[in-house]
Amino acid sequence: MWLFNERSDRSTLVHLLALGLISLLAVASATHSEHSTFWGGASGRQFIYLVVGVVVYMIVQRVDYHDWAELSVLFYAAGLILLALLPFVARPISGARSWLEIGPLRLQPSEPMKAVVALVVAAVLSQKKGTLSLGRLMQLGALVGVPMLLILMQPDMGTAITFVPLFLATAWLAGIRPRVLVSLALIAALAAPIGWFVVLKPYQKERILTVFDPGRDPSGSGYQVIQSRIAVGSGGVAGKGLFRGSQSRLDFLPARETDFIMAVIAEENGLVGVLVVLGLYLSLMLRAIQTATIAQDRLGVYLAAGVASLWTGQILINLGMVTGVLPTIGVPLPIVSSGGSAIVATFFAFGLVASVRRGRFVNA
Amino acid sequence: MKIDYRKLKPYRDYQRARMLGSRLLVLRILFIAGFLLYGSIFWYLQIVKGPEYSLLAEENRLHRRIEQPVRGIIRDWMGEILVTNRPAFSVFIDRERADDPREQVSRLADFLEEDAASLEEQYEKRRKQPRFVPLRLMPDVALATASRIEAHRPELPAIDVDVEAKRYYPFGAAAAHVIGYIAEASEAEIHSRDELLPGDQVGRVGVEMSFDSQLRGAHGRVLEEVNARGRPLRVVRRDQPAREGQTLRVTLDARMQAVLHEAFDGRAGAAVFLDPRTGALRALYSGPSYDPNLFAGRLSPDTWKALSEDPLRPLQNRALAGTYSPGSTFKVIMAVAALQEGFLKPGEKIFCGGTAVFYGQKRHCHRRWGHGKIGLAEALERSCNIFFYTLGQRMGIETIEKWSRRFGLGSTTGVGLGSELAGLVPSNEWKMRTHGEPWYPGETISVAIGQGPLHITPIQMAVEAAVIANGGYRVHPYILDRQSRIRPPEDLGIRPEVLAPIAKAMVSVVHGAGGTARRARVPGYTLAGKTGTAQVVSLDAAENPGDHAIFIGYGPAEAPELAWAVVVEHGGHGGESAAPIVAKVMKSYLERRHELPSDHVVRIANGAGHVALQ
Repeated sequence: MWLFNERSDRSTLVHLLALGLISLLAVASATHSEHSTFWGGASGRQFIYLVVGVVVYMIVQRVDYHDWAELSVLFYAAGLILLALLPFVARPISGARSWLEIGPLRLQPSEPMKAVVALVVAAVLSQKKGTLSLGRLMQLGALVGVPMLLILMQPDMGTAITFVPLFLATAWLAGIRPRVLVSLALIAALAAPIGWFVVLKPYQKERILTVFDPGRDPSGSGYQVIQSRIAVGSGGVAGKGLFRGSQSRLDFLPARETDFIMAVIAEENGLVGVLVVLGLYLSLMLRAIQTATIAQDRLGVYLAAGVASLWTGQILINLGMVTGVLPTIGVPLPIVSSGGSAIVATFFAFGLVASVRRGRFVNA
Repeated sequence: MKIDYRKLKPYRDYQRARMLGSRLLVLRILFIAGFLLYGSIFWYLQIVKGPEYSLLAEENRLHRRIEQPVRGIIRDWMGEILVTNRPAFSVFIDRERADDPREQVSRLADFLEEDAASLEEQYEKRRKQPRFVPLRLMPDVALATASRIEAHRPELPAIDVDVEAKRYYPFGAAAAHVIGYIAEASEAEIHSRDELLPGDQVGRVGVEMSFDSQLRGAHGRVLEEVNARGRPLRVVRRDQPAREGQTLRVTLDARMQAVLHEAFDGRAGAAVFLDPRTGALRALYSGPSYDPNLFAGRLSPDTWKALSEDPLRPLQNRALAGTYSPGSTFKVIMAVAALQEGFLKPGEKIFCGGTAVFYGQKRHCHRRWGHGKIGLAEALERSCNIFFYTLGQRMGIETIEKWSRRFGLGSTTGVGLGSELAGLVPSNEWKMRTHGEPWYPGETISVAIGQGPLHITPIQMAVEAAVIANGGYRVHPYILDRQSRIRPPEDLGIRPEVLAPIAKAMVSVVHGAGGTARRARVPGYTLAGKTGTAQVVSLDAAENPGDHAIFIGYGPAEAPELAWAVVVEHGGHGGESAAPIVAKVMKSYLERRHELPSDHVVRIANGAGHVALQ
């Protein structure tokens, strides 16, 4: 098969597929009811997304990442236009104008935008060498900041915040001086009160406060956190068994097939299941970092490391929500959470990483 | 500007590569640290805190539901139902089945031609409950209403008619005080009785109260799995099925209660009929009465106010808690005491000249010109006061007190049907304690004819009559055969030759030409009795509402099956108002005599020990 040959990154695909399989079981369990079938519900859709994802992965990894870098500005521009159009064309779904509806398809442009921003950042950073000047740092900030701002206005705080790890990691790799990093941290600390009083909405503040004291509003914003922790904790070592989690099956766990899917896995498969998932993610990410270390050029380094950072950040934020150590801000778990846009975007992003890995053979 | 990224490729800056390498190492370490951190957080939540969260998950999942037991029914000794549970149809709305519940409510109002506003008010009042809980719109509707709703079922998909059990007292006011009623348990009761839960109904007075634990049954306990909205999904475990309350067969006679209620006709007073051989209560009535069915539903504050503030106090059980001067009925005890203790020789006559002076005070007989030389039988029959004043003078208060107490006066009978009063038997000790001065012999003279500080309850009067009826045994009234605390009749050691003339005189009271209770006669039967009039002292003579009429007795005289006491407040003389009531009740009883349970008495006689039959 010319599309996926001996130079292709098999290991990354295996990781993604393993997570996809876990996702199918977890989503099926989370959405299981007397009237549902595996194929008829969210799990059936998830299967289709995974198939599409695998195809996307294969195509993306086969194409030279330099070609993708050349296309990145185009993608980026298209993504920005889509995001900018959303407020006018999107119907609000649970309060956010985040989805484009084309017939039966529902597309969330902010998800592929993650991969596109990772790509464009890598492309732009790779054009110059030398330490990161303030001007280029601002350029980097603008590249990440503009789509982030547009997403924040949907409003989708969760997706927006996942761009921060990308920005930090790529700035770090581009050679940001430690004292600039410290200054940035200081500015962020100073800006925090403004954010608290100006930007955040009351429900968001409530969610942040809930992290420190889930009991402050057990029926409101604390409810999700309490129920998620109960689900996780009651799983114990080996879990209650697949399809046997009382917290998820009896509707105690909100958003259980999407943002809180990890709570379902933790409840039904226990610490064993959790460690399997965490191990798969860590191994996938370390492999992406390893790809960065053996990449042929800075574009490859920034691309692989950028994707790894963005996705790792997203995973860690999601786990923080599920365990209640971070506020609930609506970040899904890559691949495992139900949702087509995110799955395809993830396969796309790791296809880029695989392309970088593949690229080392070209001029070897 | 088009950039060829391939041209940027082949540059190798080893210094930069080293720097990149170390910076990538930092990223790698951060990733590992991040995942390790979450690994340990999950370990903490699932292993360290696991058991704690498992309990919380179980608490979420499982819900204990209490199943209400069906309260036991109460039958009389003939098997007639005194209390039962009747199905009450209530109209509910199940909002889960309605797209627009309000529309269903107004449509229901249309079909029933009901006031839509009141139904909507009920709906709004209960709307806050979880959606799966059906809301009661109309409690206890008529059968016609229920069937009308059923007929419109297709148009009213969310409306249900459900049956609930409601207490029903078919005899209504006729047996209110003795049967009692139920009401929601107070917080203090729930606290003190383990088997009670909030919202439970408990017996308030009468049989409903005394035998509440038998009637109540036991709650069922069911462990259910519920979802996050509280909807029960399945029964996990039935820890304990609900146990139905026992059916109680009490010694009462429902028909006698009904006849009493009719005979009292709203007048104030009380009546007690019991089996003198055993103490089994056949009828216990207090007037004016009330309908206990009012308490079965939701008692309106207005009704409660009317009942509790009625000057005639219908809620009080006068048979147990009404204390009256016994009047001339007390002469029966006087006669027994005098003969038994030798203060009166058999056949001895005492002169009654209409007036006599005792301890310096002139006393009158109610017959102004006196009865002449009169014996015990005649004195009882004609209720001669001078005769008994003389006996009182001879005996003194100590002997009167001793025999009063032997007959059961001055202490509660312990029948246990609600608050009962002991009444008062005066004595020197009592006088010292309450008034701080000794008893004056002159006071004994009033007590000798049942006046003065002597106060007794109708049930005590009935026990007094039973002693004469059964040949000298004091019975302890009871209402439930299987009651463990039934005390057997007590032999008072009265000699037969003491009782014989008294019994004979009591027959004359009813059947003699000059008897005061001629209106108690039932054709074909011989009854025995003694009338009395309890003086009601009023400061303003013009407003004196009249004396209380009292009649005690037993019958049939040759083999008594019933002993009684009837008090009609302000009924004048006992023979006028109380005796006709007895006639009606005894007639109802004696007419049915052949169909009454006969094994009843025998069984009790064996169980309760010795019972004397004349």
